[in-house]
Amino acid sequence: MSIAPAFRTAATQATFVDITVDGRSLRVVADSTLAAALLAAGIDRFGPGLAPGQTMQPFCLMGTCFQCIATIDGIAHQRTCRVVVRAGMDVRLAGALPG
Amino acid sequence: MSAEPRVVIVGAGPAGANAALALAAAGVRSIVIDDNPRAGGQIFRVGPNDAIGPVKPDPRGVRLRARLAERADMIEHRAGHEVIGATPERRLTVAPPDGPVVSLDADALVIATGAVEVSVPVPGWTLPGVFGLGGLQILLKQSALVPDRPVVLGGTGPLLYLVAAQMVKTGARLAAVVDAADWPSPRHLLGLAAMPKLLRQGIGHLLALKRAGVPIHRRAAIAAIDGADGVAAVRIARLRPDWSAESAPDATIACGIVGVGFGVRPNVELTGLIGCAHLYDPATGGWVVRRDEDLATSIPGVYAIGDGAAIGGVENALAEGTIVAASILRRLGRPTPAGLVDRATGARRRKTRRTRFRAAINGWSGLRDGIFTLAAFDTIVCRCEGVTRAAIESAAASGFDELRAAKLHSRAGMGLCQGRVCGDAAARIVAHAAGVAVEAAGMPRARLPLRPVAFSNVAAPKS
Repeated sequence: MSIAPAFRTAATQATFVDITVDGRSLRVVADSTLAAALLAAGIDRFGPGLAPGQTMQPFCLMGTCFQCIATIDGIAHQRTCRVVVRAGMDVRLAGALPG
Repeated sequence: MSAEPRVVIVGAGPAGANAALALAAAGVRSIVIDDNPRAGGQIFRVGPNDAIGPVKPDPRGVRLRARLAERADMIEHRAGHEVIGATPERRLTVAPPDGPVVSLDADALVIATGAVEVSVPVPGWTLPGVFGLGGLQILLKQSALVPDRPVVLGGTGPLLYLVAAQMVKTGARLAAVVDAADWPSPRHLLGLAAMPKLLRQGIGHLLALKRAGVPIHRRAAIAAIDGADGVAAVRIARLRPDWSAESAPDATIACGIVGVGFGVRPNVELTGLIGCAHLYDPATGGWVVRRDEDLATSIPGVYAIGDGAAIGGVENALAEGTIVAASILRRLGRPTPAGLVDRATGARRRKTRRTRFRAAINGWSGLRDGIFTLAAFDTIVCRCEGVTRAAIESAAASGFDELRAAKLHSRAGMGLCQGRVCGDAAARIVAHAAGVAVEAAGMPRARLPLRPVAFSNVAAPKS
């Protein structure tokens, strides 16, 4: 789900790259981590968790919690907080479901 | 194996990087494995582009990275590599950013894996918009993201005030700071004065918050986070001296982003996996690595330094990097340059000062176990497996009074993060429900592989 982003970018000399998230094209700040890019785009939940009603989304942002995982270019369980965006990156958000 | 000894350092934060630099200066090569794209650890973390954001990179981190690059002849920095396994024989299994895992044998192994933020589950902490305190800071430092909704920060310790001051400085609307601790007592302030520069910085952060008119709640905690599909408000509860809630939450603060962090503990998953001895010392972060004067662990040839061994802060991490380099030179039978001997001696001498400072930080803001009773029975404690406090308590009540057993029974800590987030809470919940001390419940342990790896990268055919 996408609403008004909870964050604004304060990047001083931003350049942009295009990525694809669940089939939708998205322009994001280059040199940003994927987790940060998605948050900046207003994507604030990355999929369902295992408990009823639970959602998964970035929490620790330092590679510890695995709450921000996504399938990137076909490889499942990637921590989006550890991955820097690349032009053409294909991202699938599935949460705790098999990616 | 070649005649040249192989020194492997895990972690390129201040401790690990400084150890590598000191060894390089003494003519000893090392391999530094680090899971981040750039060296500096969490404290000196930057994005791929130093100049991207409103927060200037810490000059000490900039210097550290420059010095590592200068010594690329002696230091092989493997960035983005993760250690997923290790044995007492000092054989590491390392996962590169892509491609099959590799095996690495070390004559001397230095573990400098840094700290993990302590998380406290409360109702609503799994809502979108709730982040670790360190996480909010990383969004700012690494990716130049500033909260665009009112923020409430909660928890305890110096990081709370540092992040709060950075939020104010970058123009975020900080609605409140909620600190579980009281004001530092005169005795604590005296201890904090052992590191005058850090004390001055702390006072600076506090003044910045005062100037911005940010309300600071003390002896209080964010006891619940409300919202339908994202954060809408937090509820604040006053705390008893043991940090359990004095009564039901009595104040509601509207906000859209919450940052919570209750200090840090050593990341002991690698020393735990190898089988190094640990001891329980709440003053330096809970489960810490047992070490001798040389910073050697109970396993021969394995050293542990910095916050990954016992919480001591960045100055201590830098000092231990120097000390361990001297220890390793002795182990390898190499001459120790006079300069390094002096610096190691100096680093040991200044330890008293650092210990006094650390004791004051802990006396003022050290975690108290009552905080872990804020979770309601239906609060998710283990986010990976969606396990509630009630499920962990029922496992503990059916006789699984050891963390390991309760984990197997409830699945808490069995998910992808291996209990790195919920371990602190799960251990307290088990101990509390079983009526045993938290150290009796046992140290949370991670299993091989420490990080998920694609099966194809483990089972790759021998070429």
